[in-house]
Parts: sequence; structure tokens; C-alpha cells
Amino acid sequence: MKFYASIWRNYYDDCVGGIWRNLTNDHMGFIGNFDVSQTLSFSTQLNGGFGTCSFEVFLPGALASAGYNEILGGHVVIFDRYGDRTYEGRITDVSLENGIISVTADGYYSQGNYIMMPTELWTADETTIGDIVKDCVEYMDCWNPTYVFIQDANFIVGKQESTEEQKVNDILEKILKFPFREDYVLPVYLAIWSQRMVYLFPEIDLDLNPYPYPDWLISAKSIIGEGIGTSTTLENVYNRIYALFDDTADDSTGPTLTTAADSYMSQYLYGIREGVLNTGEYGQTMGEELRDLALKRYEFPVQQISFSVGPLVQNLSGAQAESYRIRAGDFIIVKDLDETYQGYGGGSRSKMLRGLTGFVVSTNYSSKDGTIDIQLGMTNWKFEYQMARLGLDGGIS
Amino acid sequence: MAFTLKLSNDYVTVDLMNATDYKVYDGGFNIGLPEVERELGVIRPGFFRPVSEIFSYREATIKLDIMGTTRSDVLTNLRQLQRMFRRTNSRDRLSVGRRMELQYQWDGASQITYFEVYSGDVNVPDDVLQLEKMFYMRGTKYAIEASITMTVSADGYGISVLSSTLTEVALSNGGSYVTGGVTVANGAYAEVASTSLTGASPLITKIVVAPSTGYTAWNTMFIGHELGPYSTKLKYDIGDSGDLVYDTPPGTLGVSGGYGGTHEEWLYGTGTSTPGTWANLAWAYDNGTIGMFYAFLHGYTKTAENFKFAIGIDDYTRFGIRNVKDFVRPSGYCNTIPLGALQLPSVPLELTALGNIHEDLWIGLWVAKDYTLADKTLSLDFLSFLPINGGLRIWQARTTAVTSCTMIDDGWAGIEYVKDSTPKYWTPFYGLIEPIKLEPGLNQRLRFQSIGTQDNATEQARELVVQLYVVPTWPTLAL
Repeated sequence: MKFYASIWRNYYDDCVGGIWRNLTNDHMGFIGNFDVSQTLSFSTQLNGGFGTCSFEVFLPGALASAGYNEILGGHVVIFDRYGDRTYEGRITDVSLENGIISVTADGYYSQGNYIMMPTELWTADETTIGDIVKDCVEYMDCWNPTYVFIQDANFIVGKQESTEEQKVNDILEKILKFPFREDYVLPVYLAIWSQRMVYLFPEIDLDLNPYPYPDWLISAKSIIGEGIGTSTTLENVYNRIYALFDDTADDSTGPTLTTAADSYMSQYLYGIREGVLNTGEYGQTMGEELRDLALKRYEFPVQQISFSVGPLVQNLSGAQAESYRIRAGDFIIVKDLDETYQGYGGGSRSKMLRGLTGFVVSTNYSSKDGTIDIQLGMTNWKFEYQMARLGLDGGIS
Repeated sequence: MAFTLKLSNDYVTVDLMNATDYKVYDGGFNIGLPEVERELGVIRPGFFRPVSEIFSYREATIKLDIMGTTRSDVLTNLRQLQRMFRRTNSRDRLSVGRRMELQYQWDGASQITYFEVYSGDVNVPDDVLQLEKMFYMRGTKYAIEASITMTVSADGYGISVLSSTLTEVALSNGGSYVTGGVTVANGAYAEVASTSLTGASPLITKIVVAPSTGYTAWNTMFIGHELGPYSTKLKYDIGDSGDLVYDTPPGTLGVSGGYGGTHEEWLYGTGTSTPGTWANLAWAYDNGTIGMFYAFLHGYTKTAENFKFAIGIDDYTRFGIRNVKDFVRPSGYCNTIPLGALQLPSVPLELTALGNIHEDLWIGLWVAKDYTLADKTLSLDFLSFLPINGGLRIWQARTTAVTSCTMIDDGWAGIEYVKDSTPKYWTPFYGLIEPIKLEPGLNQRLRFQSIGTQDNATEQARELVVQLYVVPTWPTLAL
């Protein structure tokens, strides 16, 4: 694969432009265009989007010294041979040895670690995640000031008192622990992609039937190394769950079990495995709701998976695509292992047969061997969230 | 021609076969093949495809006698070689020094092959100062054994490494092939014939672009390299009912609600009141558009910055986009919006009765609007595709638009610059991605799409005069 690092001197102004900066602005800050095909590595992550990037530039003699002095703090875009922006960030570290300049850059999300928020910005009880994210976008000069891709995360986080030493990313990391919406209880993520546009979006809901179309289809043959290399266990699988509640509003009864909630497919596969969820002092109705959420969470093995993929994958149209395009936040299917990847499998069975399907939380690409390391995230934590919100520990015994 | 083996740095040329000062042994010249790193990818079981091929340098060795009429002459000739290599070696380390080439021609070959020498050394035996070695004579000449080891370029070239004179090739803009320049309108092509492209490895190019009658200033120039077979349909009108098959109206999107809408997946709150929505436009995909392209959206007017665009291709049941993170924001200063690279199916798919490639395959354009900014409309004229299956080169103006001057993108010298007297003090544009390399022995085209700040009609009428120069290359030797 071919990659080119294009470097401009530092600039903080509005990043307007279809590809480049504002056309009336000065492009005299352009430093150079370097072939980094052999030395590039970069990561994507949630939260953040573009993570770190490193590459090497060779310049002879005095040019190396000049380059070394000029590029720290510069704006770098990694283009592929088709002119697509593979990475975008700011150069944070430079070293020079034997004419080789080693460059490290960070995605623009990291700049939020260096800007302090004004105090007392969010004083309304109805402050939402979306409100805070938009204010941060507006406050950060080096982020594209557009809200277009900030989805309506209307979960109310309430009044936020920012302390004097609090940075932008401190407040973001705090509020992004809450779910996307009251009626859409899934994790929400923030990522900054090309042209420094900020995206706020929920995790894919794999409980949907059929679940959404994937961004990328991966052949199992292109998984390299020792393969997936994960293990799964029945240790935390429960497919018949009772809730134990002790409603303090009713003194006539003590701790009481609800009726059971069953997952018949899980029982068919793994045998009956019973568990009891302690829902504390909440009443029967809440106990039953939590029981049902727990069943979804524990009926099948859930795991985090990491694996490495070779240079080629398929996009949704079936055309071949380069694996370096896979980013955190994408939804992928290893199609040879998932017979339901057309998305028409039904209910629990489709989820159970999802051999390797998931939501990407981080990637790490290396051009030297053309491989990308992918980490898929765990989904369906509605149950953990709800338990935590209610102050319960969520354990099943 | 006789067998030729010379070293030259454009100051001194040393003939290693002259038998007066140097004599190469029989079988004393060895030049290896370059190391190759190949990378294979697989998209489905059993289907492999090479995704990259990188050639590194190669090693060459020469075993020879260094000779002279006197012992002093021998040392002079030895030092000559040592000085040449020292100057070349310092070029890599210190950026001062001289380029050096190895000139090699087989006995009976029609031309010389030139390899660039990156570094090298002359070695003599450890015991060269011993009496018998100092007084060794070959015939009437004093001589010492020596060996030269060099690191040379992976490719051999058809012109001297030290030369800046490339070979101009004839071009066609649809008519006859001519040298001296062809006129190319915005979005049109210059074609080079296969017979002009000799060699066995991709040819390095120098592209020269001069203003033509219809020339106006530009800010960004996209040069797409297209290998045949050529795509026949590269323009999709907004208003043409034969092209645009989904969504209305033919050119204008309103300020509220958007159009279409049944395929949106997201709603987002971007303003204080009405959430913004996605609007979709879709064109029936045509078999005449195959391969890798860079897409452009052309508007009748400049598009406000609160609109964002993404392009993709997908099936009937869902308007997918190429990558949801690759929306682009228009500059607000140009009618033309670069949308990015798009891969359309690489082979024609089975035709249906409708005559389209697949009745359920669409080119989709997603439009997003930021409602926090003042309501705006936009008017779209057409979608165009620049073929880039052979490569893409981008020129970007540094300051204001590149006004009337001759632009030179020299892949041989590795520099972009202008030829005319104005502007005088700097190169007004720079190049991104990498210089174009042409495939030998194949008809192919360079297509030019430029973007400036003029009105729609003026933009489309922009004309250039294009000339093309090449350097034939070989992985081994020219014969």
C-alpha cells in the first residue's frame, strides 16, 4: 500500500474547505509531501477517533536538521494513493538520528487534554450529553465547528460544575460514561475524523433483528497469525434467572423470588443454568425488569475479541477494500463464521450464531506488514448500566 | 555497439573497458536483481490479490585491474575512482556531492541502460603494498587487482541519470497524436499511445501544463491516470431523468425536512428547533463506469458550508455510503466539491432488461445540513467521476489561485515549479500523492479536473495545453 504524509505548519484557524483549508488562506505553510509507505503505523480508538500515528522521513544532511526544526506541532494528513484521508492529526514528537526523522502525531481529540474549560458552564438541571458535547466543540478552536454529526444524545446528565483545573476531555470522559438516550440505552462515543469533524454516535444495537448492515465484511482466511485466539466459557452463562427482591414498602413479606425468565435456546445448547439476581429493596416490578435485562446479558457467552487482519476486506457493496479503512466505531462481520450475515436470522438464534460480529472499539494499522489489529467491543451492557444506576452490584449467584 | 561499462558523475566519466586505465575481468561484472517485497491480500477464500510490490535497490560488483604506464599512473586511476565514490557517498549523508551513474550496454544492444549509483567503494587487496604487487605487470602495463561494490537503483533508465532532457511523447485529445501540446478542457483527457511508451517498468513522467485560450485561474488540480478499457460514462446529471432515479427536485434542495427520507438511519439534533435530516439522491449505475474514481459534485452556485456530502454505492434496499466518517465539507468558494475516492464494481456486472448494470445498484449521494446555520438552499448540476485506476496526482495552489503560467510537474527531478516570469519568487503550487508513472506498452489517459472560484460555466470551460515527457525504465537491461 502507498501512503503519503503531507505536513503543514501549525495553524489553529477554522478548518474550512472541501479538502484543504480555506482557499483564500495561505498555503505557504506547506512543508512537504513524504512517502511513508514502509514506516507508517496509526491507530483509531473510542473515544477520540484518530489516535496516534508514527512514520519516518528521510532527508539528507542539512535538510534533515531543517525538517526536524520545522515540523513539531505541524498539521499532518496521511493520504493513500486514492487521495483519501487515512489519518489526520498534530505532530507531537520528533526525533532525528542518522538523517532519519521519526515523527509521532496525535489525533485532534487529544488536544482536549490541553485546554481548560471555563467554570460553571452547565447549570441547568436538564443538561444533556449533546448540550455539553456541542459546547466543547464550539470551545475547541482546533475542532471543526459543525454539529452536523453530533447525534441527538438527549440523556440528561444534569448540572455539571467544572472545577478550575478541569480540561475539556475530563468533562467529556465523564459524561460519555452515560448512555445515549433514555429510550436507547447503549454506550455513546465521540470520535474526530477527517477535516476534524466531530461525530457523536451510539454503539450498534445487536439486539435488533435483523441487526444492521455491516461496514466491512472480512474473510476468515485473511485473519492472520494464530487466528482469533480467544476462548469462551460457560462460567457466566445463566439461562433461567430469578430476581430476589425485598420490597421495603411491604412489611408483610420478606425476601421474595420472582418467577423465572427463561432463554430456551440457551438451555437447548448449554443445558439449564439457573441464577438468582439480588435486586435489593426494589419492588417486584423493578425486580422483573432487571431479571429480564440480566437474562439478555447472561444467556450466551459474551467476550471481547482481538485479532489481526491482512490487507484486504470487502465493503458493503462487495467490492474489495483496503483493511486500513476499518476504523473504531465500524461494524464488521467475519462472514465465513457468521451464517446470518445477511441479517435475516431471527431472534436469539441469530445472536448466538454470530461467530465473529461486532463493533470495533480500536484499531492499529502497520504499513510494514499491511496488517491491522482490531478489537471488538462488548455490547449489551444495558443490564450493567441499569444495575449501576440503581446502586446494585449486578452479580448473579 | 560494443560492450559498454562506464561510471560517470557528469564531471568525470571513467571507461572501465578502455584497457588502458581499467580492464574488467571476463565474468567480472555482476549485477543482481532488486529485492522485492510483495504483499498479498484475500477478500474471500481462494481469492488472492497482490496489493503492493516494492522494489528495493540492487547490488553490483565489478572485478578489474587498475592499470597504468607507470606505478604513479596506477595510483592516479585508483584515486580517481575513490574520489568519485566519496563524492557520491557524501551526497546521501550530507546532501552535498554528485550523482553518479553506471552506464551498461551489452554487445549488440541498441541502447545504453543507466543505473543510478547510490553508494560504492573501491577495494584493493590488503597486500597491495607488497613488492610483488607493486611491480606486477600485465603485458606492458603496471596493474593492481581491485573490486568495486556498488548499491544501484532497482530500475535501469533509458536516459542518463545526469540528464534533464526527457523524451516528449505525442498526445491526443480525441484527434490525431501530436507533440508540442494538446488542448484539454476541464474534465477532459490527453491520451498517449502505447507505441510511445517503451521499456518494461512504469515510466517516470514530466507533465507540463500551460494556459490555453479558455484558461482561468484554479486552486486545486486533480490529475487522474486511467488505464484502459476506458469508462464511457463519467457524468451523471442531476436534472436528467435518465440518470437521476431517486429523489426530487432536479437540482434544488429546500430548507426544511429534506427530500426522500425513507432511508435515513439517523436523526440528529443540530439546532435549536428542527433536527436536521439526511436527504438522498441516487443515480442509476451504468456499466460504462467501472473501476476506481475520484468523485466531484458540481453545483450551479457555490455551496454553503453548512451542507456536508458523502458518496457511495449500494443496493436497492439501503442507501449505504462509502464510509460514514468520510463526509466532506465544501469550501464555500467553489462550485465543485471533491467527494473523495469511490470504487465502483471492478468488472461489468450482468445486464438486466433495463439495460443497467443491476437494477438495484445505485450511486448514492448523501446530503446533510446543519440547521444551526442560516437556512440555505443548494443547486446541483451534475456528478462527475475522474478515473484514477492508474494513479492520482493533486496540485494545490499555495496562495491565491494559480494564474497564467506554465506549470511543470517533474517526476524525474522530483520537483514542481513554474516556467514563466511571473510569479517570480516562489513555486505557486505543490504536489500531493506521487508523480504519475505510465504503464509501458499500453494506451492510457491523463484526465484533468481543476477547481477554481469562477462561476459554473467558466469553470467547465477552463482549458489547458498539456505536454508529456517520459523516461523509459527497465527492471533488467534494455536490449
